Amino acid sequence: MIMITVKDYEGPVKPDWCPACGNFSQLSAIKNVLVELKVEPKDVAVISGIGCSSNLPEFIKAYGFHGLHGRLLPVASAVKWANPKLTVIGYGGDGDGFFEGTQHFFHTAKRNVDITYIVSDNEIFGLTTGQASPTSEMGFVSKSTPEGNIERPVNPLTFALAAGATFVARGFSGDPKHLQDIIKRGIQHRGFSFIDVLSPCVTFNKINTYDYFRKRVYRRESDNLEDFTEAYKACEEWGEKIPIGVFYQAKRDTYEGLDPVYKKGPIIDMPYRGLKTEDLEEFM
Amino acid sequence: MDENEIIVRVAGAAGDGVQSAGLIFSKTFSRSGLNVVTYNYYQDIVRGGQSWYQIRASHNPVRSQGDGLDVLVALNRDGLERHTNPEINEGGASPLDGIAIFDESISPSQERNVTYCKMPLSGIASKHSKVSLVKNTVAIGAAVASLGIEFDVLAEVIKDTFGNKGAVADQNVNAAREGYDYYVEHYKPVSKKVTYSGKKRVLINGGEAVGLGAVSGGLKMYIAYPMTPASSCLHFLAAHSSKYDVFVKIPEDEISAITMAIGANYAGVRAMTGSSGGGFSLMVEALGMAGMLEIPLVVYESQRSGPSTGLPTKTEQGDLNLVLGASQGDFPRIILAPGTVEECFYMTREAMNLAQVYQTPVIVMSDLYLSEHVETVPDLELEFELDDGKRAADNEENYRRYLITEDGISPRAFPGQSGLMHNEDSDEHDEYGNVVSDAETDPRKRIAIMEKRMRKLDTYKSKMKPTHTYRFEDADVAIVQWGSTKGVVEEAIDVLRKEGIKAGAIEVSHVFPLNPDIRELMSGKKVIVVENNFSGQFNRLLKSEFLVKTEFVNKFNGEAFYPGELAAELKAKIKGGA
Repeated sequence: MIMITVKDYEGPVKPDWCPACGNFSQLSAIKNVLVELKVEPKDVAVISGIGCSSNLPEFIKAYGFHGLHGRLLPVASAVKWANPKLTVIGYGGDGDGFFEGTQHFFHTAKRNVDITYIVSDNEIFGLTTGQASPTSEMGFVSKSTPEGNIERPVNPLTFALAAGATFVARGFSGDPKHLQDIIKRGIQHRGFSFIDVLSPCVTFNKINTYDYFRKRVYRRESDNLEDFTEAYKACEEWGEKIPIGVFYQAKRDTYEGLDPVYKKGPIIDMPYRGLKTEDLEEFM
Repeated sequence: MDENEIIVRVAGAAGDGVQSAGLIFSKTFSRSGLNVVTYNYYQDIVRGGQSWYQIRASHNPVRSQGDGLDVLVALNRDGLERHTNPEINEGGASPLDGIAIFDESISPSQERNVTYCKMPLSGIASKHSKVSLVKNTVAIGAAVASLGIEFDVLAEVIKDTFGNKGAVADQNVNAAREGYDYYVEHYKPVSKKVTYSGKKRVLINGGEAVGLGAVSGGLKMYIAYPMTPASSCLHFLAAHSSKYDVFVKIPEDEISAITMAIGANYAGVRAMTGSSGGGFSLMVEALGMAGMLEIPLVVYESQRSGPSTGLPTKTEQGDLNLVLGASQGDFPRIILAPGTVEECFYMTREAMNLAQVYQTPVIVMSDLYLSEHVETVPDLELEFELDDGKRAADNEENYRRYLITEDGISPRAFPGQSGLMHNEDSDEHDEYGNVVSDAETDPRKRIAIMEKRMRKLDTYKSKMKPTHTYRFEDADVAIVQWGSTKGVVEEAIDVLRKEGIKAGAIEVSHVFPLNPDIRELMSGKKVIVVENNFSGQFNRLLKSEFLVKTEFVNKFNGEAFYPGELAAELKAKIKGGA
């Protein structure tokens, strides 16, 4: 049996995130989970978008794809469809996923593609040095909203539920042990698993800090994860108290599981078919 | 008019069954051993308006919709008026110079110099079926009789068309038979010297040819958002998904379509996307990503009249600037433009290998005319060898995804392979795929990797096959065309040759990069560029590449060129400049 350690997942480049950035604990959690699940680095594809968090594929030794802002989910879906033997992880930020990637987020959840989508949600744009993001709160003062944000923040969890995601969870970078457990369950889930991670931006977001979340966050447990209504209510809780944990998990056919071609076996293993003379008869 | 060919046109409103009738004619001719080219004139509506479908057939090769009209099947009064009136010249097409078949309920507003075959189409149809469209079948029977084709050929085509509905097929065959007999009894046959043989020919449209070419080229995933006229390929592949084992998907938008195709290729599966100009515009950013990550990608781009939504059911070659310039920065791209339905097959297949070998986007440019009209193709060569290009072996030491090489091509590795883990990055990167601009931008690495990527184009250019020409040996006028105008340019040249004008064609199917041999071909000749757009997008490319003086003939009314019309325009340019 192959022994896999965290060292095997050490990337070629040291993370360039700001010291204490919430992304560090997510990177560690992902690596630890993959080790725990005995997944070999060669069988992991990490697909990201553009933003601070999306630099992650460089910092993990696996097959990485650092693509376009907002477009990681279609890439990740197709990688999974092409080669279902892979563990496919999509990783990006809130601007990436809930602004430019919104339609992909909605439809990937609806399709229930068997991938895990982790969003490092810092409620601000970091890489572009501090503009309001889709999850920034009302009144939030930033470079793009000097007089305060006048847009309501999006709730990524209820959005995912409405779209039809079969695994919806929230973690907190300041609670790495709990985060690791959620990511593990997400990767093990068969279908689209969505994990929103509260991840403080220590440089640009002076409101939603580690302290801010530590005061509010509580671990929520439920033994009734298939109850949509209960999950929806739990996902709506935000303010003085913010729940973290797995809110919803349901069994449903994956998109690929229903595709007639896919049912014949992994596309990557299908031999070249080409055309035969008799194929042309129908056109005569 | 050429007595060795026949031209039939079915005219009516959308919803009248013009398309189905046209296809039945096309198939009847192709099964009679004739070469067939069709022309589909339709509007962006489901019901009403004016549409028509022209079928040109001959035992000789036919390369365009042609000039002239022998048999008109008019499904409404408007159709009869428009296509018999020499002043209207519908869509640039010639008015009728032969017989018109129509229902007795219609009366022409004035008698013209054509043979009117006024028939009880509806009356005959009602004897066989309650479906009013069966009157079209009666008319088809009459038209087939006028051309002296054996009824059995038509009967088989009708049975295949209505195949899964036994009773319906029988009703239509009987109705056609009565129309056929009625014609023979009442009218004289059209006098033409067309030879019918029993050889059945493959009859497909350009979209189907692209699909077949892609399958022959190893296609495993086709991901596309619907858009006319690229949808003929999508529909074909979707209908044949299980047969050819091609995973077909319509995602939420074209951005998703192209990024999915890129994702699949990244994982090691041959995938392709397709759209028209509007959808391609949405793919622009991702096209550059494929160039940067060096991921093979075939994009089928079928042009229609623009700008914006434009004329959704009309043809144009107006997207060349878009495709040439799509996405920021410099990266290698290859643009192919098949000139015929047959070339749609071979060149899409060629694109499937080129993308793998050069690890970069290859765009196959078609247009509405090519994508949507059916024509017969010569026997297709189905044997094909896939070329996967350079690939790394498992556990290769010191693997570098973007290894600097002389030919610019580096070995690929795929998720799942042992010991080759790496990152593919849309940020500028070094040989290993590691970003060069995060902590400290390294200009030397940037220059090296940029030059490596762009060298792939030099390698490709060095392997290009000679550019095709037509009647070129003694030509002193070079007509340069690209894409779908190939057939009509050849026929226009035939017209000019008959008049003693020594014109020949340079047929550019590989549009970018341009083959350096074109310079020599044009040398010392008067050069006239022909294209279906307003501004001469290809003309500009040709001039900037070769610093050559050119003249330019264009058409941008939404229709393809007609051979006679094009010959006249070319003649004016040639005489004018002499």
